[in-house]
Amino acid sequence: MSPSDDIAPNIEELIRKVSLGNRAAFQLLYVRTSAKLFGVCLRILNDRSEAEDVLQEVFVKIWRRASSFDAGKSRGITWLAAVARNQSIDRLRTRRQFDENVDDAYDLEDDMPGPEALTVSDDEYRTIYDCLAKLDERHSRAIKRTYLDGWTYQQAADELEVPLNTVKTWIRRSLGTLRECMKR
Amino acid sequence: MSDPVDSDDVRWLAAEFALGVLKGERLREAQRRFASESAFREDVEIWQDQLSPLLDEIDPETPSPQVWRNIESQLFGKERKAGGGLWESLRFWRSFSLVAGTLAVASMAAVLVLPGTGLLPRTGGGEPLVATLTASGEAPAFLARFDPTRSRMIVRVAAGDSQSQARVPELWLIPGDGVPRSLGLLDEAGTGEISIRESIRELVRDGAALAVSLEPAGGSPTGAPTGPVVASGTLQAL
Repeated sequence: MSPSDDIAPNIEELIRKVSLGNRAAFQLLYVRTSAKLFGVCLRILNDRSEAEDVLQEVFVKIWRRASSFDAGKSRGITWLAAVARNQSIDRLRTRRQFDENVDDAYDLEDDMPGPEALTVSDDEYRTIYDCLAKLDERHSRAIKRTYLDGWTYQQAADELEVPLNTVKTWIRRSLGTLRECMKR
Repeated sequence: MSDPVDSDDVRWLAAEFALGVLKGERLREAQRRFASESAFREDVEIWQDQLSPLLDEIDPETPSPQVWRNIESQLFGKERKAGGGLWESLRFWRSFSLVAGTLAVASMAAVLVLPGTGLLPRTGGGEPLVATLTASGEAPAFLARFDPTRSRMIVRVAAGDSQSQARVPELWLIPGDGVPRSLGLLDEAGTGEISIRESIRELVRDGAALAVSLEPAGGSPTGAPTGPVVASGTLQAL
């Protein structure tokens, strides 16, 4: 919480006003969230000027697409962070196009069921931290680093020094476990 | 409408897209589905919601002020409200106050309210107003919100920068006539909740400017800003 939190409406309300074209709300939203979103971009891109570039794209997108935010479905900061993450990952993958051909075959041969469509509401799921704690340390690390640092499966395999298929299996199995855990 | 998300593969795609692990053709497929299939989008959003507490591990970083300027100029182009006029007028008032200082009453309450000849009555006085106050093109330094029901101006520091210790921040209202009216002093941290006196209540409206100057203890001795103006901004309807 920043000291300015009591002065502006909450983030959801600001996004709603932005969707109506309210520029004051847009600027407040920027003041409230730009440092966090910049942190997200910077963590993934690891390059200040590129991250600033992407942050600009992110807020342009927020201005134009605010009406697609549904306060009934997700929290405002989650929606904003998703825009920032997706934009950053998009940029990162474009930058790394050279290795694109290496790793797109989904050659997993396991019979894990797919994650079910989730219909839990906010107050029902336990925190992801409780659930990550139930995973093997390396598995939870793989989840966290892919999420926070924008690792691909290949990078995760390289960093964790395990074969590609192993890391895919870890991550999918972990996602399945997390889904079950957070559903409870 | 959208295809139902029914195959395991598509569900994994949603989970992996939310996690951010995709690239190449799979990433493009996920982006396409996210843009066009509501069931897929919902699935992704649920994953995003559940993963998002991890973002607490990311420290906020302040981007360069240029980013906001770029956003404004990309989206709003030239129609952006220029702060130049306001800064000029404050500069004028500061130089004027050196001359007129001895004549001015050293009371923040005793400001002359001029008839607002330059004021365009834009909107009624019943709406909440907000302003972000920045130093010329810098990152926002203060946020101000006018609560019309209680006739109070609430000011908070937007950035963490501490103010100069020797001086106190004073909040000014500069309506359309360009004449600054002191609203009162903020505390050392730059926050405050200031009751707006009835005599200038009408001047607090959409389009009026706010500024913060650093003044000697007790406030400007002249009734106009004498110290450096550290931030300014325009009140806008929220």
